[in-house]
Amino acid sequence: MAVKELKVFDQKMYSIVRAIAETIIPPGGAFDVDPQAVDPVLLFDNYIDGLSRLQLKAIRAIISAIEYAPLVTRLTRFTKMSPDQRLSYLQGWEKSRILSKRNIFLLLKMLIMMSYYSDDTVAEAIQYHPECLIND
Amino acid sequence: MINAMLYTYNDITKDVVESPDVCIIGSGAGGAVMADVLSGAGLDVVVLEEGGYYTKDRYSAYKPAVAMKILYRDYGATVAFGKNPIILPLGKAVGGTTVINSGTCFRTPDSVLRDWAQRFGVQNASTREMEPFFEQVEKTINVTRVSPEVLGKNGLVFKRGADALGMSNGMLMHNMINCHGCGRCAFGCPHDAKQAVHLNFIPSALEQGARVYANARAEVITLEAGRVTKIQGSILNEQTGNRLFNLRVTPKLLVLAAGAIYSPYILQKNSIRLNAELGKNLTIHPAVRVTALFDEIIQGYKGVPQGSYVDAYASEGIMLEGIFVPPEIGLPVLAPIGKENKEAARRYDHLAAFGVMVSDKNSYGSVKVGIDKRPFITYHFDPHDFKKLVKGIALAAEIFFAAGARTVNTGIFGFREFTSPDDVAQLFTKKVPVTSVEMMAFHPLGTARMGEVRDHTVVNSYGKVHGLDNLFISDGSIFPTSLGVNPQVTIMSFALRNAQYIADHKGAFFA
Repeated sequence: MAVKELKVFDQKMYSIVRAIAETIIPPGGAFDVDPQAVDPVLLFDNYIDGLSRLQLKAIRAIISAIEYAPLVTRLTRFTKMSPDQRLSYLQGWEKSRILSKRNIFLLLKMLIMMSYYSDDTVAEAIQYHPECLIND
Repeated sequence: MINAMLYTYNDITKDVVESPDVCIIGSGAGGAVMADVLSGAGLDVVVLEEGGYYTKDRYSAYKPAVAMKILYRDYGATVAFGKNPIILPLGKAVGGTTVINSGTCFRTPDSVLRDWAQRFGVQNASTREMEPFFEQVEKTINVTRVSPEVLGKNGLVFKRGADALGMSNGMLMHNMINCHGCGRCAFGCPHDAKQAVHLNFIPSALEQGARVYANARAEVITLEAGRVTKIQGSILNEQTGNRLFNLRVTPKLLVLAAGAIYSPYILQKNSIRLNAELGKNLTIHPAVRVTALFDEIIQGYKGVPQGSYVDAYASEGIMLEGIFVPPEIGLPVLAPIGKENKEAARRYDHLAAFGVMVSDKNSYGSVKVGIDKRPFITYHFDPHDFKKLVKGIALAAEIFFAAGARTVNTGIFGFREFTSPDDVAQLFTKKVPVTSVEMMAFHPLGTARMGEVRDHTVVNSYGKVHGLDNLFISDGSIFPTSLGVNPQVTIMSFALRNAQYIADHKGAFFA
């Protein structure tokens, strides 16, 4: 999908979130869907359009923290890392002993995964068919 | 216009000015019942609801994530801050939280009513005196037991485990008519099977002449000489949230029914402090989710998500109730990042989940106006209550293993998945810090306690604010303590009782 449809993120922010999304849900694996057809970052962007200015600032701050924090510890930015380095770095957030760090990452993970698994193509890939037990 | 008297932002073309007998802020369990009874008593009633008005056709079109954006406050992620932040989902629509709750119905436990009478001086609210109100509410919202056909396998496997261990359990009571078992209670029922109050009390009030304004946010409450004289607010564009028109209501009597978070908040925001107890004593009924992986296919998203319960330890304040959400909501918490993410998604059909809720006896919270002028909620989880929560998690794990689970995930940070019932003992031998458990809570209560002990309560036994002649509160905020069970029937029954009190004393309030 075209990046011009973004409502909240700019191109740079989009690229960072895309790298985070591809680390959380890497291409290939147990099932695959066309990455051109499912763009969780675009869905994420559209989803959060409507949050307050303060809440959007907080989300941008989280994304920036993930991108730039490794400059201190690893002398590089998140988007400059290899896929394995990215995974190990984000696992550090996910499994951190610091609760607030875990929760901050969980919020981002939630928004990315919710966007990805809401897509009909993905739902089909995991054979999620939400029918009722009793039909009309 | 959806109904002759139900207006949304689409119907309104100029500023709204109203001078009714009664203005009700909030159209959920407390507000809708008040509107019905008071309009039925011949009073001119106006209801203001900040959320929009939605029908089953619109619910059907919403995916769960979209429903959370539209039907919930803060996208379903309102937070109570403390050592461990707790997510507190709140509804925002005509019908309030009854639109997005699980539909579970309990009467107020007798022990709770007795406690309120003894400690807070609540009058005329014994089980016997509340009986007719419970009955009328249950009849109106059609409270019935969940049938096995719509329970779904998630509820069935847990029941199987509880039966194997000899633990007391059963099917929950719900407000349903012709439930299809779609698993969508929390996202707006697509068949209008769940009898949320926008399907009964609100239509009845409209028929009796009440006017309901959706997308109408009350902002300023003016007090003069000990009386509420004016409510000002905005008609909001549902899509953008921008103000479209002004709203001005000058009622003879105001009923606040915005819930235990927003009722004290709007008063505090308007510097109406009432007394030191306003906004304090918040209980939220903390909960966690325990999941289990089975060899058999469960498909927990099919069937009533909260259909069965285990009450073997209810006397200790521990209730186990069903809970299940679709993959897009459940996976972000359950699935690890990386290659295993998709593996976990593939196993979602084999997953079962159950909720553990504990009655918060010693824990407490508060609502204040935050620096961003929004409600700021805090909550202190007492160690004794937390112990009950850990015990509840252990019970749920034992039940899952008794039902044949291959592994059980407690969701506690630092604990591996349990692979045998022997692992459950770890919950009592290893330290479980409060910060290691991901919690949610669903039933905020207590921020404007009722009773006749004026130093400890905000409203009297009928919901009238102490010291103000024409301000009532009618929602979960008036309950002095946690109920230990889902509160919608209690909120509606007290609203019914208190509305009848107002109607019976019309001469005093509307002279």
